[in-house]
Amino acid sequence: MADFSISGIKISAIAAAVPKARAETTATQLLATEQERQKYIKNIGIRSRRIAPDNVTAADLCQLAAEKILAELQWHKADVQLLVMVTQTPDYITPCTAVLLQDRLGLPQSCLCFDINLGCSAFPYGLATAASLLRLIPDGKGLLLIGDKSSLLVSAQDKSTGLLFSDAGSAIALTRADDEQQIHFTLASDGSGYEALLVKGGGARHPTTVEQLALKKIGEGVVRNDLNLQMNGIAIFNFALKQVVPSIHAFFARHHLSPANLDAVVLHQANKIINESMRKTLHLSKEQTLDILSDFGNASSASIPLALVVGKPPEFWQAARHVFTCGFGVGLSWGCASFTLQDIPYIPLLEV
Amino acid sequence: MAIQTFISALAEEFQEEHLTPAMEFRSLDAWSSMQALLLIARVNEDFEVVLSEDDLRNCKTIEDLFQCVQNYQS
Repeated sequence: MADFSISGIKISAIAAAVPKARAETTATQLLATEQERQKYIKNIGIRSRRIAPDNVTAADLCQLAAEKILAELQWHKADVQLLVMVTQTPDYITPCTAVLLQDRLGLPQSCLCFDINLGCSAFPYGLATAASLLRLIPDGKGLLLIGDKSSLLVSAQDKSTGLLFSDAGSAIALTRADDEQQIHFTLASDGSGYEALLVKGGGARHPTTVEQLALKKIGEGVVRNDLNLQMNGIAIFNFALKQVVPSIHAFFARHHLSPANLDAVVLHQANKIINESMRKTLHLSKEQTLDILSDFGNASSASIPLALVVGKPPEFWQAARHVFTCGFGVGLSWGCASFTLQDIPYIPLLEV
Repeated sequence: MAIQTFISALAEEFQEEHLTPAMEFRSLDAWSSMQALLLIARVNEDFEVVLSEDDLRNCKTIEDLFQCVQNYQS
């Protein structure tokens, strides 16, 4: 387990953007009866999700969030020397999205830009990568963009994924701070579980073929093709309880964190069954643990910044707040990050 | 743990009143992929055991599940 702390870098702003269009669980044809739909809402916790139209990508949502931050903080674009984008749904297979956004955001050519391919663990990984690089760039400012258009990957005829994911983008501003500011991290990986969340076709291992587009019936209510995301919910749940929860316990112990001293706990929003099991096992209160599943579903990589933006009222941003975050999922990959938020503008959710 | 304690927890989770040890849990009306997650959550909360996919696959009846949980606990 990679455990480390980064000093001298702080989060200066967080913004999130989602599509206006909602998909209501009550309107789905994937569940046959109203009773099934209500049971899904009660147990999985998702009432509606945000779905981007064809012409809006994760990069577009992240760009909107980044532009808002640049305006809000009145940054000179020339000062932005770092742009890290974390996504599994880039605009193109190649080149990477961060480089495209350097131009679209009007950032200087001296800006260091690259993508990271991670999903639900994107926030701690992206923050650790961006903060550690920014530490080496004198006077530089950094942007961490995290977003996914998961609706692109899921089959509309797969009830295991088709009612779960939401599209969202986010931007996190990073600046230098005094060395007393510390961000603590633990980052981990288990590639043996790669099949639990997988898009099998379209990569170099199984290059795209016409056959991959054929829809196959995998089980009752689960029809998809090889370019769709496949998910094993039981394997993810086991991973969350057996691997992620112990990591969080160890992180709390290492940094002498007590749940009682945390102003906000943000777990990746997987589904209500998984999140509630984790919350109870970790003895976290409902009040301190953010839950945005009902209105925003599982926003994949963007779930943590999105949860902070929509889950906390304007007052929250007016004082110093101790925040613990944990992202976990596709890879399998997981990580924790804890930090203090201070002097941060409240930026309401952006909708497009 | 008595099997009756285990069955009571399952009965509540499955919302089925008359569960018996010999019943095959996959044949219950309420059984679904979501119900499998609810079962794992309930067993974790009440008995501090995390059932895996293999555990569920290898169990047929409610008594099998009970034995599986007991094996973890002992």
